[in-house]
Amino acid sequence: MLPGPMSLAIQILRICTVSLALGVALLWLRGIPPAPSAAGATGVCSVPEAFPAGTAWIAQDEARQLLGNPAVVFVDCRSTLQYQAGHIASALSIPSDQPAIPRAVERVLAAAASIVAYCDAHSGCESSHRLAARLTELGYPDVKILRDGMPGWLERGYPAESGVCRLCREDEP
Amino acid sequence: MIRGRALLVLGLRVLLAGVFVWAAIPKLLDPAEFALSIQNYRAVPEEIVGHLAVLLPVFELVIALGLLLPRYQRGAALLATLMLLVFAAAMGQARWRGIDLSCGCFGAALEAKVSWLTVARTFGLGLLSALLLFAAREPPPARVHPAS
Repeated sequence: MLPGPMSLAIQILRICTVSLALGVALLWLRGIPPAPSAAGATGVCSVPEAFPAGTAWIAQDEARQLLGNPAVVFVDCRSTLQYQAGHIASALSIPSDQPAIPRAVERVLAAAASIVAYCDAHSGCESSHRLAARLTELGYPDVKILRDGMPGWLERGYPAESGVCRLCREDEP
Repeated sequence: MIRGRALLVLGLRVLLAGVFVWAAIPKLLDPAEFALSIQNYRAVPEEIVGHLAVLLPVFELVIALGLLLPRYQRGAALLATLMLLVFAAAMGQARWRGIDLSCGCFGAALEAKVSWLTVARTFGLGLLSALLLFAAREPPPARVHPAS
């Protein structure tokens, strides 16, 4: 039997070797899982596999330049409470769990040339992707997702406001 | 007669092995999901996230096996300690930076947000592994011991 410390080192070496061998074999057999976010992306928003590959991104500075352009509508996918606490100036609120898009909002979206969706990037931006997919399905041609979402916007000190979205209230039956 | 210390060592080995197996299985079943979890920590380069997502659970599983084998229990305990401390540090840095993320510790099925509690839990498990490392004794040499 080898002395204590040496034996410990050998145990570790063997465990690591076995793990590495099995791991590499598994990687070879099953392939590397796709990197969750687009290559070279600096963003926080990662794209899970399930989302359509065609999802378009828009950078913060680019989006900032579009703010105030009447042909561009910003859409907040976070909860109503989060929206009221603070959102990108002039953005509309469509919480991702809201079943139907109110008609007034639909009219604004239909008149827009582009839509920029954003959410709280730190949660993985899934709600933005869901909404973007939904809007694309509804036939809106140009839907982009804001990289880094609301946190990135605030970090840069871009225009934001708080309060309710009057237009976004659900339709009266 | 089973002495207290031997009982403690056995208990720790079974507990830690159980935790590691429990943690490894959902990750092995859904590597893409785990890759996303790792990505959200924003602590490792994107190029290796996919590889890590496959290698880490395998490593966890082999460590669990090592914990159960008397001849490898101490090496496995040391590796488990290091691994858990690294995990705790990763969660700690994420929490510190205010990243709101799910820990990915036990796969998506048991989704839990990283909080100081999860950091403390991981750190506590790390301490238990360290305790095992120091409490465990080398097994007596096997009677038929192949020269290696």
